[in-house]
Amino acid sequence: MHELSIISSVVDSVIETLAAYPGARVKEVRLRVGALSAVIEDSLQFCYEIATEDTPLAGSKLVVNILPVVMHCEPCGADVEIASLQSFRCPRCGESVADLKQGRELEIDSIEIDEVEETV
Amino acid sequence: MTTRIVELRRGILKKNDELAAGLRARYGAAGVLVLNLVSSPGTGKTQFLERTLRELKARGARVAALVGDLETDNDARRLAASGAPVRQINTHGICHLEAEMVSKHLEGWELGNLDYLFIENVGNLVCPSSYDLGERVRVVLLSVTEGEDKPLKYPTMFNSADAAVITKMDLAVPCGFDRDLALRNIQEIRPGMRVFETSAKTGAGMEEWLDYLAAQRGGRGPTELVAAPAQVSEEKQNPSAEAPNTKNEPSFRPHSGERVENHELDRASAALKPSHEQATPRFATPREAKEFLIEWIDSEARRVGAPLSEVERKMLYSSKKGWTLPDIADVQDAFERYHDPAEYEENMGKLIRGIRVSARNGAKEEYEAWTEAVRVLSREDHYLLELIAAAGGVRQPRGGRLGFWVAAVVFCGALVAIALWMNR
Ligand SMILES: Nc1nc2c(ncn2[C@@H]2O[C@H](COP(=O)(O)OP(=O)(O)OP(=O)(O)O)[C@@H](O)[C@H]2O)c(=O)[nH]1
Ligand SMILES: [Mg+2]
Ligand SMILES: [Zn+2]
Repeated sequence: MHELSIISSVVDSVIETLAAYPGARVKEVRLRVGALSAVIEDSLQFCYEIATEDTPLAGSKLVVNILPVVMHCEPCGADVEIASLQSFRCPRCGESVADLKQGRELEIDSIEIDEVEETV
Repeated sequence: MTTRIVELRRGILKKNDELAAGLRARYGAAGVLVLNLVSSPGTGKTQFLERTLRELKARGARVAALVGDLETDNDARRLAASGAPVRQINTHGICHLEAEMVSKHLEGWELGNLDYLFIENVGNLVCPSSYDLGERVRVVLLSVTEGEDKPLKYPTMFNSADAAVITKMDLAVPCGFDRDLALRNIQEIRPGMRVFETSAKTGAGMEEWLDYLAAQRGGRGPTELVAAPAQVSEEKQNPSAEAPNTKNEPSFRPHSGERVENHELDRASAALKPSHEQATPRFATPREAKEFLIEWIDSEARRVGAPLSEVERKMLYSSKKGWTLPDIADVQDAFERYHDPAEYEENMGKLIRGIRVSARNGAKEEYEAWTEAVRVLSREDHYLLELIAAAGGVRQPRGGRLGFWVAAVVFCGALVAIALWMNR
C-alpha cells in the first residue's frame, strides 16, 4: 500500500536529477530493493505507470533488482544468503542468524537517459 | 542522441531516514526511551498501551504517547484515560506513520521531561516496517486470536522488530492458541527476540514487560523517577525553545494528505511544555555519554545502509577501566575471531566523520550534544575515544593507544585462531 508514496519519491528524485540534463528523455529507472524491504514489485510497476504519467518519465521502464537477504553467521564466520523468508537460518550450518547485512535496501540505483546532442 | 547512464545510488526513503536519525539523536539527548508499536488492526495495541501507560505512571515514570490512525481520535481518547499526555495523528489514508508526522506532533513537547514515549502505529503489518520513526525499540504485537503463523506471513515486519508482545492471553484457552508453535515461529523469523505474553484485560505478563522497559532505559530503575513528578511550568515559556526547528520540520509532501491535528486530550500535556533552556548537563555520567554516542554511531550506520552487527556495536563499549558491558570479554572474543580490526576502525572513522558533518550542519543542539558527550566520556579511558580521535575529532589522539588496541586485538585473535585450529 505504501508503494505509491515510494514511487512518488523515486519520480521526484529522477526529475531533480534531470535538471542537469536539459531535454533528456528517460529510458529506464533502476531500483535496488532488498527482499526484506516490504514492497511488492508488481505493485511498484503498477504505481510507476500511474505516477509517471504527464512527467518526463512517461513511457520509461522500471527495472527492479531484488537483492537477496544476506546475514552474517558467527559460527561460519561468513556472510550467507538466506533463500527463504520463512526461516532465518544459515544454509551451511543451520544456526539461527539475526545479523542482517543486506535485504532492507530501497534505493534508486541509476537511470538511463537519451541526451540531446549539442550541435555546434 | 547519446545514451547515458546516471548513477544515483540514493536511498528512496532518504528523507525519512535522515529525519528519523535526527529524531533519534534528539530522543537520545533528552534521555527518553521511544518505542514504536506495530501490529495488525485490532490486535490490542491501544488496550495494551493504555495499561502500560497507567502502570508506568503508577511506578512514577513520566510517559506520553502518540497514536496513528487513518481517521478518528478514538484511540487517543482511550489512551488519555490513563492520565498521560496523548496526541492523535490522523494520516487520512496513509497506511503508516512517517518520521515527519511524528516530528510535527512532538512540537511543543519538552522531551527532557519524559522517560518513555510510545508511538502506536497505524494497524498494518506491512508498510510501517519501511519507515523508521527514530524509535529505539520496535515492538510487534500479535494476539492469540489471529493465528500462530502471523510471523511467517509477515516476515518483513517480524524480522525488523526488537521485541514481540502476544496480546489477549486471557483468550488463549478458548481460542485453542498453540503457544509453543507461535513462539517457535517468532524465533524462526527473528532469532533471539524477547517475547512477552500478556493480557491487557487481566494484567498478566505486564510486570515482566515493565521491567524490560526499565532495563531498556539503561538500568535507571523507575523508582529513581518517583521523586521527580513532571513539573508544570507556571512561568512564561521560553519562546526560542518553542520556535519550530526548521531543519527537523520540513514541509509535508504535497501528495501526503496528512494534516496536523493536535488533539490535546489531557491537561497533562502542560507538563511537557518546554520550561527553561536546559541548564543541567545532558550527561550525568560517562556511561550515559557513551550510550548516547554509540546510539548515534549505530543509527548513522543504519542510515548509510550498513547497519552494525551486534558484535560491531558492542565492541564500541570496550574500556579498560571505565564502565563497559558485562559480556564485553565474549564480544571481544567474537570480534577477534570474525573481524578485521583495521577495516573496523576505518569503518567507524567513516561513520564518526559522517556524524560530525551532519551534526555540524544540523541543529546547534545536536552538535552540542555530540561534543558534550565526547567531553564527558573523556573523563575516563574508553576505546571509543580512540576511535573518535582517530577520526580526526575534537579530542587529540593520545599517541600509540590505538596501536596498542589493534595489536592486542590482533594478538588475541591469533591465539584464539591457533587454539581453534589445534582443536580440530
Ligand atoms: N479479551 C481481551 N480483549 C482485548 C485485549 N486487548 C484488547 N482487546 C480487545 O480487542 C479489541 C481491539 O483492541 P484495540 O486495543 O482497539 O486494538 P488496536 O490494535 O489498537 O486496533 P487498531 O488501532 O484499530 O489497529 C477491542 O475490542 C479490545 O477490547 C485483551 O487483553 N483481552
Ligand atoms: Mg489502536
Ligand atoms: Zn553458519
